[in-house]
Amino acid sequence: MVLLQISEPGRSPDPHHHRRAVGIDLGTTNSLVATVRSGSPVTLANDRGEHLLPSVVRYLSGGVEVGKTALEHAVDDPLNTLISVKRYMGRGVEDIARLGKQLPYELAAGKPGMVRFRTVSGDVSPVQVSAEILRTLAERAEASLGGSLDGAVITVPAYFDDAQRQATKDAAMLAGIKVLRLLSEPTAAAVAYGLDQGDEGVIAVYDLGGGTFDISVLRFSRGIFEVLATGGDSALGGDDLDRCIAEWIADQAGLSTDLAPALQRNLLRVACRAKEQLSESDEVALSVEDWSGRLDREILYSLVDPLIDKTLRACRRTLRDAGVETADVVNVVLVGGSTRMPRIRQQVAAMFAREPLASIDPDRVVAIGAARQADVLVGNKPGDEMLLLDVIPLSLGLETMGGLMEKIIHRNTTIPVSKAQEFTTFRDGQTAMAIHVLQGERELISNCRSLARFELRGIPPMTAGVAKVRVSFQVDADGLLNVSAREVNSGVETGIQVKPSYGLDDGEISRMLQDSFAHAREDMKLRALKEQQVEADRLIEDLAAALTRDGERLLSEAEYHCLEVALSELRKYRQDCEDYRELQRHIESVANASETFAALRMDDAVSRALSGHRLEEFEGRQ
Amino acid sequence: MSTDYFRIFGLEPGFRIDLPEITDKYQHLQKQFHPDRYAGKSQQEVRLAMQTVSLVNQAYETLKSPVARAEYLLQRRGIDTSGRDAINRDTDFLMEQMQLREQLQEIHDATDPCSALDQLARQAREHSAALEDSFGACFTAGRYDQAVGELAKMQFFAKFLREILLREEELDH
Repeated sequence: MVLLQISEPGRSPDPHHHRRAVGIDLGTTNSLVATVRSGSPVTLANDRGEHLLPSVVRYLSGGVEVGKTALEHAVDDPLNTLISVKRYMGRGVEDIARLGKQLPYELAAGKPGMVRFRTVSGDVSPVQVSAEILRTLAERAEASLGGSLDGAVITVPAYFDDAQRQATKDAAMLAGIKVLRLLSEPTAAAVAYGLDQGDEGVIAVYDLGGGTFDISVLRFSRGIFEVLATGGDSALGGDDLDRCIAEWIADQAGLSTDLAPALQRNLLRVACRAKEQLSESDEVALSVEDWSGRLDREILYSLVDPLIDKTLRACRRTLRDAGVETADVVNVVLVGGSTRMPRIRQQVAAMFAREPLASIDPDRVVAIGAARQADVLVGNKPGDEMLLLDVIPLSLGLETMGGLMEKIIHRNTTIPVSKAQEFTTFRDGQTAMAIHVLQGERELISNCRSLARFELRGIPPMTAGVAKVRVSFQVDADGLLNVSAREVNSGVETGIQVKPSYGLDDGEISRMLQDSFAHAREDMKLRALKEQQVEADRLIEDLAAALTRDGERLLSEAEYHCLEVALSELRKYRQDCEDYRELQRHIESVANASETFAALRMDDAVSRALSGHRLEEFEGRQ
Repeated sequence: MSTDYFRIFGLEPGFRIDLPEITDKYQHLQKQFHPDRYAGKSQQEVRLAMQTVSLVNQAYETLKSPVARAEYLLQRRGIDTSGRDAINRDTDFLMEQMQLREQLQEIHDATDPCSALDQLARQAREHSAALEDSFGACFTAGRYDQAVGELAKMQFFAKFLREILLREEELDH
C-alpha cells in the first residue's frame, strides 16, 4: 500500500504506481462495487460486512438514506422511498404510462423530459437517485482503498439505449465519479470468468433477474470480446417463477383469485421457500391458512418449465439473430440470483449441450468483471491484450419524407462508429432543414423513439435538389450519440449532442453539480484545476514523445520549431497557472496547433499497422 | 487515412471479398486503435483514435454484409441504388414477392407457426445467396443496370428476413 506519495511539483506522479479503480454494477434491485486487489477481483463490503447495497434511496426533510436502512421504510414511507429507479432512467412520463404499471410514487406534474419524483425534500430525477447510490458505493470504495478513486467502470444492460446510457453517465458525474467506460453487463460477466484466457468461440450470457430476462451472444476471438446480439424479455423474471408456484398453491387450497395483499405476500413467501427447498429435496410440505398439502419436483417442473422454455426460445432466436449455431457456443455464463435454481441450470445445460459456468456468485459476477476492466482501463495492467467491444442495441436514423425512418447506423453495429449520409432540399429556395433523429427498428416513425429534433438554418437559397446536406452520426465508445449537419456547398453547419428528449439539459446538470459540490469535500474550482493539470501533463507527455519519435520525419523545420515552442509554453503554464479556465484554454490552443501533426501520426500508424500486419502474415505462412 | 471502405483494409474494390482476411485486419486495427487502448493519453489522442476506429467499424460493418457491400460498391460509382424501377419491371419477382408476403401474413394460422417461419427464413436465405452470386457476376462484368436490379431483390429479402425475426418475437409474447 502506498502510505505517502511525494511527487516533485510540476512532475507527474510515477506512471507505474497503482491507481484506484473500481467496477460498479448499478442494478435495478441491488448494486455492488468491486476492485482488483493483489491481482484478484473482489467485491467490497460496507462496515457491517454487507456486499449487496439495495438500490433504494429514501429522501428525508434533511438528507437521504441509501440501501438497507432506506429499504426498511419502503412500506411505511412509500412516497419518499424510491425503489428500482433504474427502470426510469432516461424515460419520460409517457414511457412510464406505456409500461402499463401503476407507479407507486407521486410524479412532479407538468414537466417535460425525464420523470421526476415528488419527495419531502423536493422533486428528484432518477439520475439524482442513482447518483446517491453511486456516491454511497464510491465512498465505500474510497474508505476501503484508502483514497480517492481514479476512475470507475459502470455496467449497463446491453439493451440500454442512448438516453439510458446518458442518464447513467450523468448520474456518475453528479456523484463525482470519473467514468472510464460504460460496459455492458453480459460482457462484464464473461470477463469475470476470465474467458479472455480461455477458448475462442461464442459465449452465451443467460441473465435471469427478478423482473427481466436478458440473453446476450458474445464472440471471443484473439483477445477481443464482441457483443453479437442481445435479446430477452423485459416482462419475464425470477419473480414470475414464484408467482406461478403461488398460483398453483392458491388453486390447490381453493382460495379465490381475488386475494388480500397480506395473503398474497404470504403465498409468495411460501412459494419461494418451497422452490428453494426443492433444490435439495424431492418433496416439500406446504401449509397456507388452514390448508396443507405437498409439492414435489415433478409438479414444480410442470409449473416452471413453460417459463423456462420461454427464455430458451429467446436464446435460440438471439443465436439466430447473431448468425451463429447452438453448437458454436463454447461457454455459457449464468447471471442473476434466479439462476441458482437447479432446474434452470439443467434446462440451460440441455439446450446448449454444455454445463453453464456458475462458480462465481451470480449476483456479483457483473461487478467482478467490471472491476477487471476498470483495472485495465486505468492503466494498472499495461500490456493486457483484452479488448471489449460493445454494440448499439437499436438502429439510429432520421425521419424522411412520408413519416418514414431511414436507418443510418444499424443495430448491433460495433461502437464507436460514425457514418454520414447526404440529403437534399425539396423546395426551390429552401433555407432550412428540419432534422429529426430517431431510434428503433420499425419503418414508421410513430413506432420509433424520438431522440432529438434540430434545424439546419442559413442554407443559401438554391434550386430544389441542389443543396447537399450531409448529416453525420458519431456514436462514442460509451454508446452516446452526436449528430451534426452541414450544407456541403456553403459550409453552414449545426450540431447537437443528442440528449434532450428525455435527458437532462446542460443547465440542469450544472445546477445539480453545484448543489452537490456545495456539500462536497473539495472545492469545485480546485477539482477542475486538478483535472486540467492532469490533462496538461498528458498532452505534454504525448506531444514531447511524438516530437522525439516522429517530429523530424513528418514535420518541416518551421512546424517542428513551432510545436516545440508551444510545448515549452504549456509546461510553464502548467506550473504557474492557477485558473482552470485559463489553463484549459491554453491546452486547447496547443491541441489545435498540434492537430495536424497528431492526425498525420495517426494515419502513419494505421498504414504501418496494416503493412506490418501483412508482413507478419507473410512470415507466419513461411 | 483513406475514407474508402476497401482501401481502409488495403483491398481492391470488388464484390467478392475474403471475409476472414478482412476480419483479421479489422481485429488488428481494433486492438491497436480502440480508445480503451489510450488509457492515460491526452483527449486529442483519444479523440483521433475514436475517429479512426469509428471509420474502421463502419467500413467493416459495410463490407461484411453482402447487401451493404453491394450498395456501397454502386454508390462509390455514383449509381443510384434505390432501384425501384428495375424491380417494378420484373413481374415474376413481383409475383414471388407477393406470395412470400402472403405466406408471412398467414403464418399465425399455421399448425406450427415457429417451424413455418423457420422454413420461410431458410427459403429466403437460399434466394439471397443465389442473388448475391448473380449480383457479383453482373458487377464484375460492368452490367450495372442489371446489378441494381439484383441488389433491389437482395434488399427485399434482407427486409423480409428482418420481418420474419420481428414476427418470431411477436409469437413468443
